[in-house]
Amino acid sequence: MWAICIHEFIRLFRSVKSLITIAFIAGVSYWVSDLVNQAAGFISQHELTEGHALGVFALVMLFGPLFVFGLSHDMINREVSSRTVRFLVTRTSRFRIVLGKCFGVLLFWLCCMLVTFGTVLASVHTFDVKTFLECMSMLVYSVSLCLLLSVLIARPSYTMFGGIILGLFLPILGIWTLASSQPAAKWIGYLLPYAYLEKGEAYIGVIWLYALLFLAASALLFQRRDF
Amino acid sequence: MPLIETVQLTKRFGERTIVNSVSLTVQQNEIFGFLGKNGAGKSTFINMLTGIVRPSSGTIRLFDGDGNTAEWKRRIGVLPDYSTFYDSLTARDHLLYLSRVKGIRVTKKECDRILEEVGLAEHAGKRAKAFSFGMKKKLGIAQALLGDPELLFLDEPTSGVDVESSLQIQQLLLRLQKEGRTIFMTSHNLHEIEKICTRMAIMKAGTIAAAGSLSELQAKHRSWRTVTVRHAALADKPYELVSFVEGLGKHLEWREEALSLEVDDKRKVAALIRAFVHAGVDIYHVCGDEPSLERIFLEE
Repeated sequence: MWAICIHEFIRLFRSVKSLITIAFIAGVSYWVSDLVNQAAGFISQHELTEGHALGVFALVMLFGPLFVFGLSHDMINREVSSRTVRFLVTRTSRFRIVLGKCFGVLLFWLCCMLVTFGTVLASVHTFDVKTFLECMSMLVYSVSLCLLLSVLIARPSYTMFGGIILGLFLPILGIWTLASSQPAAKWIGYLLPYAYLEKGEAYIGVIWLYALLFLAASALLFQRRDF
Repeated sequence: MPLIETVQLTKRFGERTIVNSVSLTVQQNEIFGFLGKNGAGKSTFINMLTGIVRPSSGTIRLFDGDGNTAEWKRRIGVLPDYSTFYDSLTARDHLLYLSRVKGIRVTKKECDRILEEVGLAEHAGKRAKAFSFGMKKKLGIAQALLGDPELLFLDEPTSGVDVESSLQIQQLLLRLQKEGRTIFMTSHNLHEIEKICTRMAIMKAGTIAAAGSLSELQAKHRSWRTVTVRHAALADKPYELVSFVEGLGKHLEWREEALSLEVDDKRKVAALIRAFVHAGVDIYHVCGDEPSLERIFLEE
């Protein structure tokens, strides 16, 4: 499992797309935190700490799913369509393959967040743990959903298209469920991470439960596949 | 000890039955050849044994039921059909990565030794995307050899490989068998199967049409044998002789100085010789062939 995890992690880091994404997130976060820092005299210390991480928070909430789907939409079906999956299934269990792939992508995003929050920490000397956890929760949800999509849909070109649509649609749907007073919005909101992030504290655990559910569904579906 | 045992193994894709209730046993230290036309179900069968495809029904027992699936996977080596590789990895990196996936530690030196065995030593540092089909096939065999597996599943190991490399692979397989390994392989090359396999099975439309050693299969088909007669040149073949010979057997091929014919009885060989003598045609050489694997394959 760890070999697959490290392989996926390194593969993502080798990609130019991934490096641009990390540079973009870190750059925007640094710029926003610097901007907030300039207004330090007008806001309280608590708000200042949260303000420093505002850039990365906004980026992850609005574009997190899009980034994740853009970079990892084919984490499983790429191996299936190229048939390299045959080398894996004859060596280790299918559950470990799914877990290894998921952990590899999560490790990449953990590193990306550490780089971003590290950049903010280096410039303004604050590390907002709460925002960090919220961002990671959002990314864990997106990665596990992306994994499920990659197991469900066999062709990488389809997951790329579907992933981009879903990546753009999820935040719009999330904002709508938060802003709208319609009963449908409330129900749809329960399926998305935004409502739980707004409520905060223990509710964030529900996002992780969803991620676990997506992971379990992916493992179950992968278990039943023929290659 | 049976190393592979399948009982009524079946695979269906929708309405189509690709492998139909196949029961087969492969003993330890055998090279077992699996033959069949395209679409006969060979690859699906081998893919079920290796866990690539899940059986619809039936059972598979490897290593006499000793250990669980995870342990089996550590003790087998697999060359799947249509081997494709990670474009960005070199041949050596492939072996290092796939050995780690298997849960074994292999050194770079060990990888180079395996690559040398399959004739890829000088390409160890080259990326797989630059490899030809034959080189990819060799890399496929190399990755199957990782961790000294007791049981090898090779799906067409020599297809698309040049003659020299093909012979090298055959020698390698024979050496592995001598070292105590068991090999289950599929091939379209009947000569190769005839040469290196201790037992074989012929698959037809998802079922086993015939199985056994070459001599067992030949014994089953021995009722018909090919007789070749070399004789003095005949400008005009005597009519009586031609009509007599035509009635003796089947698949008659008669050129100016040689005749070959399949007969179903030894006494017909004697009758054939007598007919030539009676017609005053000198015979230089008579020989009777055992049925070849090619013929057995075509007849099954």
